[in-house]
Amino acid sequence: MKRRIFLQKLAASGIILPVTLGFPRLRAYAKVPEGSQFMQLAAMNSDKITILIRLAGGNDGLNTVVPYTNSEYYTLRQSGEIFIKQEEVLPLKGSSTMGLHPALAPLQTLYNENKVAIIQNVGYPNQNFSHFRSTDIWLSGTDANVYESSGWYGRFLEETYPDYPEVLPKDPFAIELGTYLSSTLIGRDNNMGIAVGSLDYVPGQPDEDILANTNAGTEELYVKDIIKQTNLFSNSIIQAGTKQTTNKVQYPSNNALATGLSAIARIIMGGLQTQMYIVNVNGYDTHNNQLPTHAALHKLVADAVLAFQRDIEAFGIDKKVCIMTISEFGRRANSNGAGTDHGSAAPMFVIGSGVNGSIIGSDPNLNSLEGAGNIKMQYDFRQVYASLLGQWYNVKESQYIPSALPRAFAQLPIFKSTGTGIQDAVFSSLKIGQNYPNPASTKTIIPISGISFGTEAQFFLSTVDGRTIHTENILPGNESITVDISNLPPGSYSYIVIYGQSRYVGTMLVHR
Amino acid sequence: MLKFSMNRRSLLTLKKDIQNQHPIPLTQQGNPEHLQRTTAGLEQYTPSSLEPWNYERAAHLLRRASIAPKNSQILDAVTKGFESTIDMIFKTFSVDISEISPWCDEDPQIKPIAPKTVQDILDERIQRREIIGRWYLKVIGTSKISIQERMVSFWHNHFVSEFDVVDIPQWMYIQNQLFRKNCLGNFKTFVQDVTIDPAMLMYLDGYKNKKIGNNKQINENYARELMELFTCGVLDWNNNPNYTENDVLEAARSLSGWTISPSTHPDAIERTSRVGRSGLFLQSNWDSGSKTLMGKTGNWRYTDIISILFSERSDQIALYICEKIYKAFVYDIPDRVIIRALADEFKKDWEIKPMLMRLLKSAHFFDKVNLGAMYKNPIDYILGSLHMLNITHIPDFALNEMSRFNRDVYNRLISLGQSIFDPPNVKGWPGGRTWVSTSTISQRHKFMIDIINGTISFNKIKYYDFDPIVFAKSFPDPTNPRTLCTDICNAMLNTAPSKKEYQMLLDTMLDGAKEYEWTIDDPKFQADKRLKKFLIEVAKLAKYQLY
Repeated sequence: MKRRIFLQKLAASGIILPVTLGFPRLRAYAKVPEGSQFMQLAAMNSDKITILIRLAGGNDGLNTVVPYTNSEYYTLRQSGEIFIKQEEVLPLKGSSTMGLHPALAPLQTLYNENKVAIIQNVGYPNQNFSHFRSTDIWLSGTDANVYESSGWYGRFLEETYPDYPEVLPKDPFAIELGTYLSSTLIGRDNNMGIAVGSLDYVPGQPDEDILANTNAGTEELYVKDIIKQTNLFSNSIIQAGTKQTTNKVQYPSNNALATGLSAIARIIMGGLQTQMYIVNVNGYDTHNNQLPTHAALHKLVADAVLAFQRDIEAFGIDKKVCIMTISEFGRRANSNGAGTDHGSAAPMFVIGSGVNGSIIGSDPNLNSLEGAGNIKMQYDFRQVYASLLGQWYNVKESQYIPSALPRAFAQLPIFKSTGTGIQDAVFSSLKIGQNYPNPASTKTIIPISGISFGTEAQFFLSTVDGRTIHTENILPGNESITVDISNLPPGSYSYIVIYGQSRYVGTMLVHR
Repeated sequence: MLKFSMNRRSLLTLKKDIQNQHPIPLTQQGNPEHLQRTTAGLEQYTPSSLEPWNYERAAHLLRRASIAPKNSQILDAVTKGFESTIDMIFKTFSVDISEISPWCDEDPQIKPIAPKTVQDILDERIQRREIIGRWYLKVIGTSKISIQERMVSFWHNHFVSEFDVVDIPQWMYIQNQLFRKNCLGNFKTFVQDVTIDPAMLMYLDGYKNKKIGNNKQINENYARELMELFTCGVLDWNNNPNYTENDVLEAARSLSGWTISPSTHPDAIERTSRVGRSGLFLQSNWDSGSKTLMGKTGNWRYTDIISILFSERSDQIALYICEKIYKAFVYDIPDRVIIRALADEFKKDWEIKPMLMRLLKSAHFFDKVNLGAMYKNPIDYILGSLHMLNITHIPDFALNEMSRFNRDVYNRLISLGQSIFDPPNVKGWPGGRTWVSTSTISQRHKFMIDIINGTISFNKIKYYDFDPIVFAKSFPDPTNPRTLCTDICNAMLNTAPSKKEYQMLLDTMLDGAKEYEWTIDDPKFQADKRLKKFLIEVAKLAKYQLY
């Protein structure tokens, strides 16, 4: 998997619309009753849109956000010279140690405009090194020891729209470009998204005949559902594509991602209310021939993303659209002589006008690698998902736990909006301060006030991967919580106070 | 609508009992809540008056075991009888390579030999890449009734290499022939051969996996996929891991030392071929240190670790492979009782043919529950439709000129998600329900409309030439619209249309005329137009996607 640089067989022709690696589910569609309203896609109280770009194959984090002042990096990558030369690295303001791969210059531009959040060392506990298993974990949002074929966003949609598919939305909930629908968009019982390639023929409506009580009958039902779905959503997509036939900026040519993103920009502008788009870019499995392959991929993605951002800015819709990148793992810190083998934690990017431009997290620690040479995770990828749901889509935890994510994950300050969950009227009196001392080694104190008589709040202390290690109730009149941390291993922890619908998240450090 | 969902629900309740008896965790089964099971096992199917050897069963066997049989071939198999048809299916044959033979075995000249330039080599490679793809398509499209090409494509989707990565047409050809040679042979030998196959050495970086002196460049790519995808899989049936990360590393070290060079390389002590460019083992590139794989320590090479794998994980390998075979021939949701029985025999000697034969001759394979529930992949769909409709290809799979027909088929396969020689990743095409999506269903329907109406042409030459009258006349009684409708449905569909569907089809065929007015001989009646509309409706039925 080296020279392949294109989206999953995405038809490069004009209108993109209705084209999956999971096992698609069986679902049943009801007819929309005459005269009734379509379900509005407003259950999230948000008009926000996310473009998820999956870098399939395992993106090498160290040659993406490069620790270019760290001599250990150059030592680890010496064999075959699989490193980015210091003088070629693009510096990132605010950091004297981390810079971008030279082919990511368009992202540097956006970073300088405070539109890029880089979240360092993202992974999950007990990293799995199989492409397919690790992809399943990232797409399902489950723990590494849980086998789940549905996806976190699919389950979230299922929970949010319980009447689906008895009541249908006017526009698809989510769209994936290509011939397959990956498990991200698959719920426990229903496919919650549709795959879209090129659309030049809309099949007719199948009949509603009673089906044989055999496996053949079951599969026939599945095909009929696909046909109905195609019919249903094709029209709204074609309509949006017809309303807006041009882009505001020139996208790079010979760039399949750019072709896909330009089409997405047009249908968003054309009024489609879909809130999640997924595009896949293959080829990141750089065991071999890494430098040229990886540079070409970085260029492809960065060029396309910049054009898209400028386009939606020109359209004036940039405040409601963000881009997020995911990959099943980063790569081994040390070179194998021609490339790098499967690794663990790596940076993620979240890009857009609604993003807090910053680097979140510390530099990868190259002096303390795990196993065969893997970077320790600092943040769980589900903290990023939780931030997206909470801050971007303005969704409360009760709406996605435990359906989409198994438990609460401490959010990270990725978006400018913090969501409105905290502004709940009755419970808005709560005030939480930063813990002190911080960092701390034996005990630390968290100031707290504003809990009304007759109510109580819950306090949680959790590890960065979201495991709760301590909880207690906070009663009215308490002015602080003292936490004994003498038994905790050094590192970063989150403390969370939940009060009614409000929620406060802080981060504390344990040092010794 | 109410009827529809009630029907689905009752279907679910019925299946619950069967599901509960199933010994495996639900998540591992795919989609078990809708599962129908049969008690029919691996005992041999014997034709009887209750379960006769008829068109339906012959079509079931030929469509799944062979690829895209013609109506005449299915009728022929009915006449021949069950045992003779099985014998025919398991006969292999050699394929015609005359159109590519001048160069398919040659050294692909990575560095050009004068007077050729680098550009010449690249141009030639791009052209030959398409020719190799179309050659393979022609081999499948013109194959006799045999399991050979079905198995070649099965192994291609198991021991995956992608043209996009390998890039050298000769190596994809050599690998394709390797699949043909081993397709019904010994699985352990097969794994050894694939491990040092040039395309595979290229695809999973085996050629870069080396240790020269103290310079260690151990590349884990092949070692990991050898265990994860090619033999035992990640987990056993109890969800215990089949190997550790250290096993991957130690296997990678044992696999080191192979490269791809002209076979004349003087230092090679083992090679895959004596001509052209070959997989070569160079002792000096091999990590000769002691390695420990699955508890076994020694100075291992590739054959050793494959032997260790096949002895230490024999049960897991047999179950993993038999499950994959089951899914390819019977149904996407595996029946673990059947798979366990197949695997227990398979692991004794790793012979593929007897295992396959046992499955395809079994009562389980022919049970009603397993008929018509598999998804046609794009090749089955496209070639199956063309063969069933007896559509003339213009020109017929020609290789020497750029055949527009062949190219159209080639491109259609891409738009349906099955680009010849280019699976999506090392795990291959996932198959099953994934073949039919909101994107591909419209492309599938459109293909049928194009071939039936003959709408695609270039310089007034049609790509597909279909004569519905000739087609109708290939059935016993084309003068009776009901009989004709029934016969065509039997041939084109694997499960009979419902009453409602049948009425809709018949109405489409008659198009307002009375049954007694039906004639195919009077041009004024325009039976050809009516038949075309009718055939498009047959192809648009959901069950046409299945076989």
